[in-house]
Amino acid sequence: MGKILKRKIKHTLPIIVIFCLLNILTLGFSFNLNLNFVKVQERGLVKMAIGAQADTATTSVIVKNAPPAFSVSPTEVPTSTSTTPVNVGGSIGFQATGLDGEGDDYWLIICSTNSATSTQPGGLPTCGVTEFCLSNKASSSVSASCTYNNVTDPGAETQAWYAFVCDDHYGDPHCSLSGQGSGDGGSPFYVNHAPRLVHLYTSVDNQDPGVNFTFTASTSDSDVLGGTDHMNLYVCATTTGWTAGGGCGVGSTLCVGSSTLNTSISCTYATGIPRMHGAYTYYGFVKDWHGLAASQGNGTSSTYNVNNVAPTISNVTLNQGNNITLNIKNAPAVLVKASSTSVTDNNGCTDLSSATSTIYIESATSGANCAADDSYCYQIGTSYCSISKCSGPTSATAAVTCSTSMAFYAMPTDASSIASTSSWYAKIKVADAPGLKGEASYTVLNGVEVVSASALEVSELDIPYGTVQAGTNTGATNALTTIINFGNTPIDTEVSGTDMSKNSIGPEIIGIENQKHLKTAFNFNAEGTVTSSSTPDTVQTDVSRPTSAVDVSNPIYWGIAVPFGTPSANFYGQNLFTVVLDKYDNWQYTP
Amino acid sequence: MFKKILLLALILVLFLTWATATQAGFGVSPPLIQNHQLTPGSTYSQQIMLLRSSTDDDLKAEIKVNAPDIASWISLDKGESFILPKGEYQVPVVVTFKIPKSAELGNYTGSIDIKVAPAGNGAGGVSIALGARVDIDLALTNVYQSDFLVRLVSLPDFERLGSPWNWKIWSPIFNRLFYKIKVVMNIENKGNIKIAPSKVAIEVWDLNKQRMLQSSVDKSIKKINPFSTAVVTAEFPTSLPAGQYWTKVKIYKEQEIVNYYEIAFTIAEPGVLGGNNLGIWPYLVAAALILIALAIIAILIKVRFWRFFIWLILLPTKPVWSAMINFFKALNKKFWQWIARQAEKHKEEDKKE
Repeated sequence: MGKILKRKIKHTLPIIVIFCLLNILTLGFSFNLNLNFVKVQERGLVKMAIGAQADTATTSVIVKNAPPAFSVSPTEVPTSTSTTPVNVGGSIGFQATGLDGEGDDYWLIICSTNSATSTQPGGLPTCGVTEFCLSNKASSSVSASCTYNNVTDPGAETQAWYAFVCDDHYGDPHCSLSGQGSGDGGSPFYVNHAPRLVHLYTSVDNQDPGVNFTFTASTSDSDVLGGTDHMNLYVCATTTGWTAGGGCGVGSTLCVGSSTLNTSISCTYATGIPRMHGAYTYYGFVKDWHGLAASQGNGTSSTYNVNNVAPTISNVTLNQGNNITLNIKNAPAVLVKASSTSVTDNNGCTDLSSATSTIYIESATSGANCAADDSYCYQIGTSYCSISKCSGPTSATAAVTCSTSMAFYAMPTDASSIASTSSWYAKIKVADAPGLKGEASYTVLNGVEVVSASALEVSELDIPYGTVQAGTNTGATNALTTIINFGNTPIDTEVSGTDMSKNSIGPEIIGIENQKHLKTAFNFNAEGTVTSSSTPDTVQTDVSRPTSAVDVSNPIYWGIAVPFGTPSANFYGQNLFTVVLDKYDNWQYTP
Repeated sequence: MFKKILLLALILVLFLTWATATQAGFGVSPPLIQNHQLTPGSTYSQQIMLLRSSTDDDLKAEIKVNAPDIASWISLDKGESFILPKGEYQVPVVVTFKIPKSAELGNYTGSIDIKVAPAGNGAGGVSIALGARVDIDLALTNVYQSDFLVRLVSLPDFERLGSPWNWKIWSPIFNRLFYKIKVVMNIENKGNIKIAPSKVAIEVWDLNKQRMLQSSVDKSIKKINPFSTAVVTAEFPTSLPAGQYWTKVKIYKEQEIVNYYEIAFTIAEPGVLGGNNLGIWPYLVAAALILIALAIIAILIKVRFWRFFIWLILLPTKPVWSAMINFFKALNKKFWQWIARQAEKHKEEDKKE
């Protein structure tokens, strides 16, 4: 028996152990996973109880659908405050979570008043007055949100709101009591009103190119909560392309200003240089510091006026800084130029219209305002001045050149001259568009010298002694030569000569010492200076410096003696007339 | 009628023939060569211009120096006989005076006499030749005088440097060397020693002259020989962008401003003005830079620079490497300590057994 028992136990022991282990495992699961066997049992008990009461009493109750409730209070998304209001026309979101007792889906609805109702059958809830937004249907205990777009102006700076969660219980939908949230995210939300651009004008106008203009906009803004709204002004060259977020269209921004005031706002703008004078249109746009563009007046235009400024000229040069060597009489007059490459007009070089110039001797009466006189003063009109090197309206600089033909007798100022302490100068005046404004002038800094030129012409081709009998002389009969001053200095004349040869080849000659000369008519027998071949004689012809194109001349008289025995023939010789500067007389210097 | 026209034509021909037979004028400019600042050993040149009123034909000119004391000092660039070409109203002749070092101080005078052939030869008698006299008035002194006259100042427009000189790799060098404001001065040395402006200063302003953009000074102006006129240039490296500017130029003699100018100029974008005409110099500089770079590379290769290169690269990571090496050293030490402990333990067990 004991063995049998022992064997039975031995056979059943593993089963018992396995059973025990399974029980332990089950209990472990039940405790750890919190399996509720008791409830199942209780349900069984209830059924048993109903069954047990069926024959004792009958009661009934109709359970009505209960409205959902906020499990998470409604709030604004994003939160609006007095400093971060929602713009009129903008959007504001709302968010809340509803919990429905029967697990019904629900809507979140935001109303302007504390009134919202659900509609039958299964319709969307509605607000008593104004609905701001209605969410999509959400499951119970799941967050719902909606956005109030195109916020209308409530008039005030705040707008109260009431949130409701309304279920979609079939046949008996209900809305919760209203919720308004709390704190910044609660009702009301703050509304920012658009400013208005009342008046746009150029408060600092009529400026030169490159100088600041001030554009001012009168504005109004009724918002005061959180402080008066700051204003931004955009001044654009064009009316198109402006946005509250991006400002003026590409390349059209003139200036941008901001102001802590809500009544006036300015910005400054300097034109580039050059800028043509005249009126320029601009357009103003205003937005407040909440990025809300003005509801009125944006795109208003006004004008600013750029002054016509006088051109400037500097660094005038005369004959490129070189001394002036004139041609002598009957040669083409030398062209002399006064010029400058430093001419500017900040309205643009195309605004330059004309130039005039004066080339004058420093000692001239009234200087550059001297009366025209070819000895001292050349007034050059606009016809003889040219404006060049203007590359177009985008350039301010140009060059000007004025030219004149300088007479052969213009007063010299070099070391040879009586006017050596003086020099020649040039002044150029440039003017812009006629009738508008301005001229500018500049005098050459260092004068240049007109160089003395001593020149002569003898009117006669030869000395006309005519026929003289051998052994006699010309007596009181003189041959005449006329010395004409061809230069710009007074002159004397140096004379010398060669022996006269028979038929130009000799060998018979009439020696040069047989010729006499004098600046006045003379009798060969009593007067006259013997002419020499080796020692020239300076005849004080004293021919004055010309002061006009009219010939200025003086004569030299000649006589000859033909020695006795000189054969009858034609005799030829050559006399030399050399011009000599008469430095101290007859300059006719009356500037 | 035909006879009348023929008669008028004949009169006209006679008139014209008569007119061309008249004497042409002749002269000289200036008629005086004057210099009272010459020093022994110096050289002085003066240009005189021979002037004609008519240039229908060539004309032979003969020059004779009539200055016995100084004749040996004087030379003429055209010699003593030459042709005045047809069509030229002014013919220059340069007279050069080379003063011997041994020349005595004092005044020297004389003349240069120029004669041109007569325009015609009379039917019988004395023809007329024309001439001109240039007086010479020199004085030798041992007093040195320095003076100059600025005859012309200009500031040429120029362009920003174009490619390849504006490449970033070397643009600072080329900008420094070749992107410059240049003040070109035509200066006459009126003294008897070499001279140049002591300095030239510029201020660059905007077109409104309200904002100064640059201020620079150049003290290295090339000197000009006595009695000469030469073009010298002051240069100022700049970094100004393209645009139009006013420049105020001050030219100094010692500490004194002797000339002041205001000059407008333009800096254009590359190519707008047809190039800066920098010549061959930028190419030479570029070649030199490339050669220097190649030489440096060759030297680095020679000294196996890559070793230093690796060392340089690893240098910033030295703390990391040090930490890792220390860590492995500590690990190694602990390992061998553990081995030692194990060995000691087994040793004791063996003793017990």
